[in-house]
Amino acid sequence: MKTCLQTDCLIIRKYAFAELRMKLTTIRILFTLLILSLLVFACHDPIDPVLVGNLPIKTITTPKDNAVMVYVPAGEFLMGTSDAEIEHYKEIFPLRDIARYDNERPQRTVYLDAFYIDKFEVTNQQFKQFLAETGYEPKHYLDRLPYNVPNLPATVLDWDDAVAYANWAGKRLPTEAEWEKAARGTDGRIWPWGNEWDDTKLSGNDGRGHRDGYRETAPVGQFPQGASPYGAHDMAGNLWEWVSDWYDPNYYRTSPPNINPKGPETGDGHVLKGGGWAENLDFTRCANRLGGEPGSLLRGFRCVIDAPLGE
Amino acid sequence: MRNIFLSLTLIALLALPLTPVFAAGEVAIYTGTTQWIGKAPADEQAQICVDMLNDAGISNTWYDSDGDMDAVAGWMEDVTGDGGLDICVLYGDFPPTLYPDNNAQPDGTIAETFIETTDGDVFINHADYMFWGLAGRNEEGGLQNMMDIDGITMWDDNTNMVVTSEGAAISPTLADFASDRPFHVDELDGDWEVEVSLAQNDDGTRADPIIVRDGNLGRLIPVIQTANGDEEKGAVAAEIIIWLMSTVDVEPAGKLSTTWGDLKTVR
Repeated sequence: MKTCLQTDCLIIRKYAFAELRMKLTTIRILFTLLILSLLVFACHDPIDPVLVGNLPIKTITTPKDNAVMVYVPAGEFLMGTSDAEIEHYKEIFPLRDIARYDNERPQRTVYLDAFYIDKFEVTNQQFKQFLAETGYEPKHYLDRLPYNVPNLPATVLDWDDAVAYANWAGKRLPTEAEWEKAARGTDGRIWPWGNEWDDTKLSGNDGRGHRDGYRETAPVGQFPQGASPYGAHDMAGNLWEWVSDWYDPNYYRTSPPNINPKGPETGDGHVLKGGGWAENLDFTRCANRLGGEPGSLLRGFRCVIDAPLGE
Repeated sequence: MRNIFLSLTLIALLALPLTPVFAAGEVAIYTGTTQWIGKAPADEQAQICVDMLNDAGISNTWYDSDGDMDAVAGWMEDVTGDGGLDICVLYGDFPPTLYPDNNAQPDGTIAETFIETTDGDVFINHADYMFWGLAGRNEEGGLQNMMDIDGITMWDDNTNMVVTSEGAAISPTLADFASDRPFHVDELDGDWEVEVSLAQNDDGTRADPIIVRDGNLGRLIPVIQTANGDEEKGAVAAEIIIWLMSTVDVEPAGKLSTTWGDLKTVR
């Protein structure tokens, strides 16, 4: 049995403690270097990895319109509404005619190539930059209060105006499938944040007026807690959003292509997605789709670009 | 000749007190252009409404073509201020012959004049935002100018409407539903007031159908304003019209206020 004097033991303990402190300091330095190198890498690379929720989000910023875009990887996702969801909707929307969900059925698995989508709806500031640079005369853009404040989404009532902006920015409108995947991810969730309704996660009045703190539209990005799995904001609420597809209520039932679908050849107007600030839980579902004469639905848009091959 | 003229004048003066100050007038239904409801379903609902009005013996004219816009405007000018309670039923659009595009004439339009006499004339509207106009011709300005209320709007989709006891009495067909453009009761201003709320949300701030009246002048009645909904718009409108007309016919003026006074007391 080894014994030591009390002073010897103290020296040994002191030495061990100093060694431990040195190791900790080394770990701290290495960790700091790691963080610094990550930051330097991020600054060098146009793709900027950040974290939203538990998912890594890749973003780029496009030079023409200075828009942040989020990356949506290639792969499959669930598009439309299943029969099980219809049964669920009967409970949460008891006063709705269930036939109104027919245009979202059947649910199907769709494959999409990778793309980037604007993190926010196109703002008045961006839309006016486009107008100023091109002299384009919009067919129907609400350039008046309370809609035309710079950081509010641009209320662009005519689909052609949205397409003209996208062309100027070197982008395009998303297909309905791209929009829906960017909004709900791959797991078929009802709203961008999940399957539980939460009226604090979107610009919407929930039928009670001014509930979200804004009389009508809200500045883009005010509800980060309601972001989609890929980090796109305001996919539910704020403004209905134009997509490139024509609207045909029977399109899903006609076995459309399940790889990069572009919508029907023609239709009754263009599809609108996402609901607006005046809407609540039903119209803000990711699978919801409206077409035809949009009437008093206030609408805007966001753009997409294809991701480079290999991403 | 002079004697004949005097005799006719005397007869007319004697007959005047026998004629009700207010009387049931005419109904015009316009489906030439529609919004938030297709023309075909709008025509189906209009046919239901016409059949019920005919059965009730209420004079009506159905204008089913967009070429009828001028005719509707002519009808409206003819009946405005004629002493009869006249009703114009729209299916989401607001013909520019009644109210020029883009709020070009905020006051004194054929449509506004129609609801600014003591006849108590009525606009009934189905489907989309009242007076918005196809392709957003008027936007919120249509309703605001027609009511002369700057801040009034008609937003809030999917707001649950529960039928009131008055609503059930007036319109047995009316069922609970989700309105996409309910009337904002809490934004009423000036002399406008609620006469009857037939269905409303929990706190009564949103209602559809509802009868609102501008003092002793005209009325607006949004009826089942839903996006692409296939609810019983035609039947409910007919039941409201029949109730309004019969109320006026039985006992003019006094009966109207008595009935609504009673209903308000019940509430």
